[in-house]
Amino acid sequence: MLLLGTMSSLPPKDDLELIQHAIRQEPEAVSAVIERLRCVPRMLSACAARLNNPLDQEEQRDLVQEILLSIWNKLGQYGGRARFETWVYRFCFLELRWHLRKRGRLPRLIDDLREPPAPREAQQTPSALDYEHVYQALSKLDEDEAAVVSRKHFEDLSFTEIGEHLGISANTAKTRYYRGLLKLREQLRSHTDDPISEGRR
Amino acid sequence: MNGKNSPDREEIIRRMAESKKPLDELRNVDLEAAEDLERLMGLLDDTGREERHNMAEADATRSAPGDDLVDVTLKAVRQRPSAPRRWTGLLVAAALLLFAGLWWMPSKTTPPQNQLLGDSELELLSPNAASSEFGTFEWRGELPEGGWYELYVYGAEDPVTAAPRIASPHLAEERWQPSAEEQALLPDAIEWEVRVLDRSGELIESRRVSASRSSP
Repeated sequence: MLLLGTMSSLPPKDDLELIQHAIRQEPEAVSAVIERLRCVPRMLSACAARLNNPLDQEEQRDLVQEILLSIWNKLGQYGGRARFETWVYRFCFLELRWHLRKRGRLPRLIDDLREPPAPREAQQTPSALDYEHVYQALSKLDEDEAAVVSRKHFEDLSFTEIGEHLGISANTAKTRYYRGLLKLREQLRSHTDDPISEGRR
Repeated sequence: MNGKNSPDREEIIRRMAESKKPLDELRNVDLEAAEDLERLMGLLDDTGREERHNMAEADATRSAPGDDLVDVTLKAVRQRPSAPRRWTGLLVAAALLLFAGLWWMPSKTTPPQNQLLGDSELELLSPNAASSEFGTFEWRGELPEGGWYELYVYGAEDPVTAAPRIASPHLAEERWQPSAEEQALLPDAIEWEVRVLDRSGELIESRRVSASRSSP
């Protein structure tokens, strides 16, 4: 999906291996990861645009720098559950949210701002805050469950396709999926009184 | 539905996986859970759609504020973890020489270890040499206006150039509680470092101590 710079011709076959090489300070891996992180400014811009651009240019530059530092210092936490760019995107999204919350500026999505939703639509439009809950709750799932739930909803794959990706049967994928969903439900319910209902307002 | 992995819960999960109408299976057992799951699936779909939309927008964008900062920032941060360690080596050597020549002097004349410049306001309190766990990191310090703290935790046996095992977000308070998942990434012997940065992100002060916890 994303064509971000060029990958070097390193031995690592996948993103997790690349990151592990970079953590060991292998120069080619470090350079390759820096190249991949050029997406950060554009990802942050895209996330900010959806919130009606709450940052001025200087603030955005400062936040880019903070995000880059944060990602670099937390490379060891990349577990290979999703593509590296997807992990980076979620970093950008959550850091933007955290930054705006610190400053007491947490607008709703731009779609909500363009026109007042009808009461029924208001019930079905989630706020960006709930996306944050989703990411946080997903990060706490077991790896095999998170892998299936993410592929089902974020990559729009069928259970058969998920099974092929992960080397499991479609039925095993479904079992992990429903187990993961039930755990997510518990996590999100414990986060607020009823975030699942609120998330669909 | 009771228990995280109770037999009846696992049984309903199995039946959902085998059913053409999994939510109907769940409705027969727990209507509230089925309705919650239906809404949760919708929320997950929305989150995924938002993510794909934003990533596609990013892909289609030619440039954005901060493009020029990637190389500069990461070049600086690649050098930064090793800099305090070089200073650490020099300061420890200086401290040892002072001790050797002036061992009878009061301890307050000995420069504190791991300090970069000047008098330190920064004091790392806990965990320390013999703690039971790494659930809470606490220190005492003074922030410049607009500044923040950053906390990094390294394995005590890690190579000098190793990246930190875990790192905090920017902090205004003098306390950080890593998540259970982050704590699980730590060995029993660590070194943890607190940095004080000013509003422009310049490093003002840094302090580092060792800590160990008793194994469970």
